[in-house]
This record gives sequence, C-alpha cells and structure tokens, in this order.
Amino acid sequence: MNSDPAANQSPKRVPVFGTLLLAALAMAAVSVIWLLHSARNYQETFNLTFAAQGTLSPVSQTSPDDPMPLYFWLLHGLAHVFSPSLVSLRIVSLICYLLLLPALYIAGKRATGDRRIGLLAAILTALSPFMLWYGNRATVYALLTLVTVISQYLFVCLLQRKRWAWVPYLVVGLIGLGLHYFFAVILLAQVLFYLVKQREFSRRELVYMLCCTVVFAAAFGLWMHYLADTVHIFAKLPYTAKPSATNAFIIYVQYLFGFQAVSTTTFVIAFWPLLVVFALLAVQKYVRPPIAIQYYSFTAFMPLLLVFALSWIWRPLFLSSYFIVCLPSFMLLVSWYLVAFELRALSWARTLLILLMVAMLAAELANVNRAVHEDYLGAQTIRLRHSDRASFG
Amino acid sequence: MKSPFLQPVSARRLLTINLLLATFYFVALLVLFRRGNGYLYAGLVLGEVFHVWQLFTLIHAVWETKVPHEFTSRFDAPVDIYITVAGEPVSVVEKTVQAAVNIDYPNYRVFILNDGYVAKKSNWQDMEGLAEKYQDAGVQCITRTTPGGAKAGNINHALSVTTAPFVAILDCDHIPTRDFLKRMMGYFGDATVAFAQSPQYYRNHTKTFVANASWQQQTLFFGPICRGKDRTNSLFMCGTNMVIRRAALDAVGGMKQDSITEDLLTSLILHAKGWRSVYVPRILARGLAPEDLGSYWQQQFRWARGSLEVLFKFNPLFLKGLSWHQRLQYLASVTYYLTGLVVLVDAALPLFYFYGNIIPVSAATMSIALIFVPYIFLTLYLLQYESSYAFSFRAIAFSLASWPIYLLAFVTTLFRLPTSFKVTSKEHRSANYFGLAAIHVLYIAATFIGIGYAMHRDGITSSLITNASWGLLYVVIFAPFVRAALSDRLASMLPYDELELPAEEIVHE
Repeated sequence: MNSDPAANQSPKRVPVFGTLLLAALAMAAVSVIWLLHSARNYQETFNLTFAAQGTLSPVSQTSPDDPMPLYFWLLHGLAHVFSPSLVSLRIVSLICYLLLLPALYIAGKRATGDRRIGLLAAILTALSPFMLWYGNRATVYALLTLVTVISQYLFVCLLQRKRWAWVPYLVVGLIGLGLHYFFAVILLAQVLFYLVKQREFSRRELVYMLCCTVVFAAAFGLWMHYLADTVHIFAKLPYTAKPSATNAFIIYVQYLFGFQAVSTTTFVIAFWPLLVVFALLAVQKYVRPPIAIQYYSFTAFMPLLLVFALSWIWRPLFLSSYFIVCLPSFMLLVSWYLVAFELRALSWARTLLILLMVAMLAAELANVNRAVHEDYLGAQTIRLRHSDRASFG
Repeated sequence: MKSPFLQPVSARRLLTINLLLATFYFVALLVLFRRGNGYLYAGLVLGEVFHVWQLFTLIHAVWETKVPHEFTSRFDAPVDIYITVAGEPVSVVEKTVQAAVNIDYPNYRVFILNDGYVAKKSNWQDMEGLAEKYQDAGVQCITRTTPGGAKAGNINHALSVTTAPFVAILDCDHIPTRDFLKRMMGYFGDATVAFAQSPQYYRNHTKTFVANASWQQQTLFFGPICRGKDRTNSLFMCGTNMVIRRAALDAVGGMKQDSITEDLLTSLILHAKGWRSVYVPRILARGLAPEDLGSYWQQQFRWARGSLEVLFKFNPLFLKGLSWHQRLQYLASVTYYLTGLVVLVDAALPLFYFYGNIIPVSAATMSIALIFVPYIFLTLYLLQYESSYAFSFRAIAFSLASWPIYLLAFVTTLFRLPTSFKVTSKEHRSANYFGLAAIHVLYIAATFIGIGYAMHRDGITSSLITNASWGLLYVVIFAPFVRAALSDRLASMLPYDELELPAEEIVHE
C-alpha cells in the first residue's frame, strides 16, 4: 500500500453520497423519535439557563465544569435568532453530529485515499450510541467533535504537505481551544507527532509548526491563567476518583457500544486478549499504515494515556465525555484496520461489529431515560465532600 | 536485486520505548500482580524472562543496520564454486549448474559435490552425467565415496581435492545471479574477512502455503537481524549463497563436522579466532523453500537441533576469543529454539484454568491489559517496521506453532539422542502430514471443550471470558499450521487470502 494516499484509488466504487444520506436520515429519525425529547441532565440545564439569559456574559459565568466560552457565545448568538429551548439547543448538537458523518468520510478519504475507509468511519460513528447520545444533548461535545475532525483533517493535509492548510489549521485550533480546554491534548498530540516525523518536513514547515505551537500555547496559557486567576477553575474541575485500568478500556468500549449496563461493559472488556489476535492479524506483508493512520493511532490513544497518567500523578481529570476528542481518530483507525488488510476474517469482523453496534444502539434506545451517562449526582456528592477546598457557585 | 526487506531502517525511539514497556511489564509481573499458583507463576515469569531476552537481543541487533564495508571492485582472486548435492533430482541441480557456468567473473571453476553415493541415493550417477554435459564449461563432479560429516564432510572432501583460495558454496537448488561473485568477492580485499554471506531467497514462495510461510519467516532474519549481526561481526554462515576464504577454513580445520548445523559452528569458531564476516544484503541466489509440512518439519528440526547442540556443547558465552556483542548475538540465535518450551507453557495456562481453575496471577485482569496491550502492539509493529513490512502473521504463526519441533529438538539434544542429517526436500511431496499437527488439533479441541467445561462449572465470568480469549489466541496462532497439515484437496477448500506482492518478489524462474 502506498504511503501517499493520493496515489491510491479505491478498488471498488461505493455509493458514498447515498449511503451517507441514508445514514444521516436514519440517525436523524432515531434522534427525533427517541432522543430529542428525552430527560435533561445537569449540564444541559446549566447551558439552557445560560443561553436564556440572552446577554453576552463575561467568561466568569462559564460553567463550573467545562469552561467553553465559544460555545456559550454561540448559544447567545442563537438566542437572538430564536427562543432558546432544550430542543433547539439539542438540535444544534444534532446538526453537528450529522455534519460529523460527511466530515469523517472526507477525513478518512484524505487519510488513506480509500473511500471505503472514510465511509466505514462515518457509518461506525453514526451507529455509535456514545456519539448519538452526545449528538442529542444540549452540550458542547458534538460541536467539539466536529471541530476536532476538521482540525484532524487539516493536520493530515499538513502531513501531506498541503501549504494552503496552515492558516485554516491555526484558526480551527484556536476555535477548538475556545470550545473546550481539553482540545489542547489534541493540539499537543499533533505537535508531538509532527516533531516525531520532523525529518519528513522542510525547515520552513517546521518553523510554521513552531509558530502555530507558540500561538496555541500562548492562547491556552492566557486562557488557563485567566480561568485560574479569576474563576479559580482548578478548584472547580470535576472531582472524580482516580481512574482504573478498567476505566481506560471502558472509554473505547463506550465509543463502539455506548453506555451499557456495567455487567455488559465488563463482559465486553473481558475479551481484551482478543486484541492481541487483531494485532497479529495486522501483521501482513506490505500493508503499512499511511502517515495519517499513524497519526490517528497516536491521537486515538495518546490523550487517554496522558490524562490517565496525569490523573494519578496530579489530580483526577478522567471523564469519558472529555475523551470524545479521541473518538474520530479511533473510528478512523478501526475503519482502516477493517478495510485495508483485505482479509476475509476482518470482513467478517466488520459485519459482526456493525451488527453488534446496531444491537447495542437498540439496547440503549430502549433504556434512553434510564441509562446513567455521566454520574453527575455522584460527582456532585464528591464535590460537596471537598467543599472546603474551594467555593463554587 | 534489492528487495524491500533488505532496506535498512532505523527506529531507535520505538525500540527504546518497546524495551521500557517490556521491562515495565516484567517488573509489574514480579511486583505488582498478586501471585496465583506458584508453579504456573514461575512458568509465566520464566517465559517472560525469555521474551525480554529475545526482545533485548533483537533490539541489540537492529539498533544499527547500516554497516559500511570496504569493497575492492577489482578483487578477482580464483574461486571454486561448490554445488552441494545429496540425491536431489537432476532437473533441480541442472538449473543451478547452468546459472553457475554463466556467472560473470574472470577466474572460477564449478564443482558438483556429489554426496549421492554415500547417502545411498539411487540417482548418484546422474550427477556425473550432468557434469559431463557441462564439461566444456569446466564443470567437474567430485563424488565422495567415504561417508562421514554429512554436508560438512562433503565440503571438506572437496577442499582436499581443489585448490582455489576462495570457495563459493551453493545448495543445489540455489540459482546464482550472474553478478554473484562480483558482488561478493570485493569484500575479500580485506584479508581478515573469512566469509561473505548473502540472503537465502525462496523463489517458490508463491507456490504453496508452507513455502510462503517459510519465506515470510526468513525476511526478518535476512533483513534487519543479519544486518545487525553484520555490525557486531557475529553473522553466521547459512549453508548456501556464501563465499569462504580457504585460509580461514584451514585455520580452523575445515568445516566443523561435530554439528548438523556445520555452518553455524564453523562461523562461531572463525569469529572466536578473530576472523571477520560480511553480510551482503542483496538477493544473489534464489532457492527452494520446503513446500510441504514434512519438509518444513525436517528443516526446522535440523536447525533447532544444530543450534541447541551449539548451545549445550559450544556455548558462545564461554568460548574464548569472542567479544561481548558476539556472545550476545550467537546466544540469541541458538536460544531462539527454546521458544518451544515457552510457547508450551504460555499456551497451557488457559487449559489449567479451564480444567483446574488454577491461574498464575490473580491481579485485576485489566491492570495486566493496560500494560501488556501497548507492549505487545508495539512489539508487533516493530517487527513489521524493522522488516520493512515484509514480516507477516503467517510467519509468526508458523514460528510459534513450531513449538513441538523445537521441543523435540530440545529433548533429543538434552538426552543426546542420535539423529541423522536429512537434506530438505526440494519438491512438493503429497503425503498425509496431519500427524505433524495432531498436537495442535488436540490443543484446539481441549480449548473448546475446556471453555464448555469451565462455563458449566463457574458460569460466564470475566475470568472465563479472558481465559477463553487467551485460548482462542493460540487457536488462531496454531490454525495456519493445522491448515498446512491438511491434504491438498482439503486445504484447497479453505479460504486463502492471496498476498499482493511487489514486482521484485514475484517468482524469477
């Protein structure tokens, strides 16, 4: 397989537009029927209250959990256009979620030159109960995921030496940082990956990347300084328990199968030695991951490992919703794996995975108002226990 | 021809991370995880010691794979080409003879080293006829009539009746390229170089499932490992596609006849005496891989037995004259065949759980996974990366599934049971080899029955699922070996994912 995806052509014609449209329509229908009117959660209530205020408040009024000024400004802007309601805010997320499907297709095609990989990534994301859930919440996460995919796409363009991508990459990076501070781990991963591959780039490109890094670091640093100084954000970060190894694996199981019952999730992760089988099957003659797939492998796991380590060394930061920034990379990686090797066993695995995801999606929809997606009550209890650490509003 | 697996690559950062992960996993196994059954725990730890050793020596080998050697292009000392034969069909030998007489080099002679008579082969006289056919091109046949020493004895006998200061050795199925000698001889301008070795390439690797697996196994060895061994001056002769300086052989008393892997032992002694070796990473001859499981078994057993004999009788660790790097690399090569014991222990662990509810460690399985998964993923990626993506699952599966062969070699070596030198067959033999994979089939059956038994005993628990997954892992690993043991008719009914090969790896007949 050529490492330059532009040189690759998909071996088979696939009805891309029709499939994407069908997937989008199906998931839109599922959303409207089951999810748009489901019970609200704590964070949505906060966001709705904030949007309903109708004034462009200072950042100090930002959510205690998630500092995300750009999202709130977007909500403010929308409040001028239509009356903010839970459903209208959820529709914003739904649109982002539906746009994510073509975005992932384009990102996959750009990364590998193979339409099938992009299409499979879009289908898996459409079927992901995890993504569907956040695609129907009045929260920042669907928008954050969309911006992440765009940033990933632009970064891959940079890896493929497309000079036009520098400015959009910088702008989208700053937007991502403004949406959620956790986006910084994606930018960090990008910079690290570029450094690792530095021999493949010219001195000028390295200088450009250095400039982008400086701008990102400055923006992030100022933003964090402001939050720490004015809003005392570090005292307000969600206080969760230190993550276990199981938590780390659960994140990826959730990407594929959503928020299932603990017994179901435990059952799935107990199959972990089969990962070695999948790794062995990936050792195939002359199938080498294109540079973009190497990058997606890095961003699928590195943020999680980093936060896992930080959670043990510094303070717990491990929330599955934050890791939504790793979901696009993970889906693209899984899709590449299931398509690129052209193995019969993997085509069976592909079918099995899709069937399982559909089943898990159905299970989640059947319990849509009962599923506990984030334990905010528990988190609040822990916060109250630690209330002597800082005051919070 | 420069095939992709012969390209040097460098991945020091990844190698370092991999070693750190391996060490971390090992330390976690020793310190962090709660022990279960003492014997199984000991087996697991010893197995891991072996894995870390293998990884360490692999990293030591491939740390640097670009090795500069002095090459004197005008060096054209006389060479005698030895084509070793022990009863192989004339049709196979003739292709090699034809290619040998067409080699582009000013000063050489071709000898067919005919061991058919001493090996009691009915066609031994055919070689003399073949030599007569190519008499005008200067081909001569040296038929040995006094047995002893197997292939080494054959070569030593030829050395006693020929005179050139250099000898090139070709197995009778290894067809040399026209530039074979020109590419090899230039390195002998350095008087300390005892031998030069080029890779073994199997031209029939697309012909059968077994030939394909054999070839894919070779790519890692003849790619990064040989390049690395070249750096540490610990490359050993591989029996064919090599040129040796007669003076060096004379200095150590000829090819060593004390082992069935005469080439390995002779190289070891040469290095201990201070001679140097050169690896020529170019395909300069194309031979035949074993095409059926019987031949594969025979070949692997010979290599394993010979290597283990060197380990037990001529341990490189204690042989005087070797550098630390050489000791390490030789030891890595000969201990490779202890893999048989390790695979047996590792594969048996799930069975102990199924049938006896015994486990080696009782740590939370996900804690193990968090360390083990990145470690094994990176290891597999590195194997791929270092071989320029020429290595494959099939190669790994065959290497691991060969554990009964290696175990048999270990036992026969340990108890000094006699064995004979058998030349690997150069033709596909349609026989029933199912018996060679019987133990694998037994394992697969024991795994599935064990899963059912444990499920009946404990219900569906996390421990059962994890152990069942381990068992299935070995089922997947052993499956290609079992497939290779099936009759041609049965095997043709199974799905087979054909490989798309780059142009330079297509058969070059």
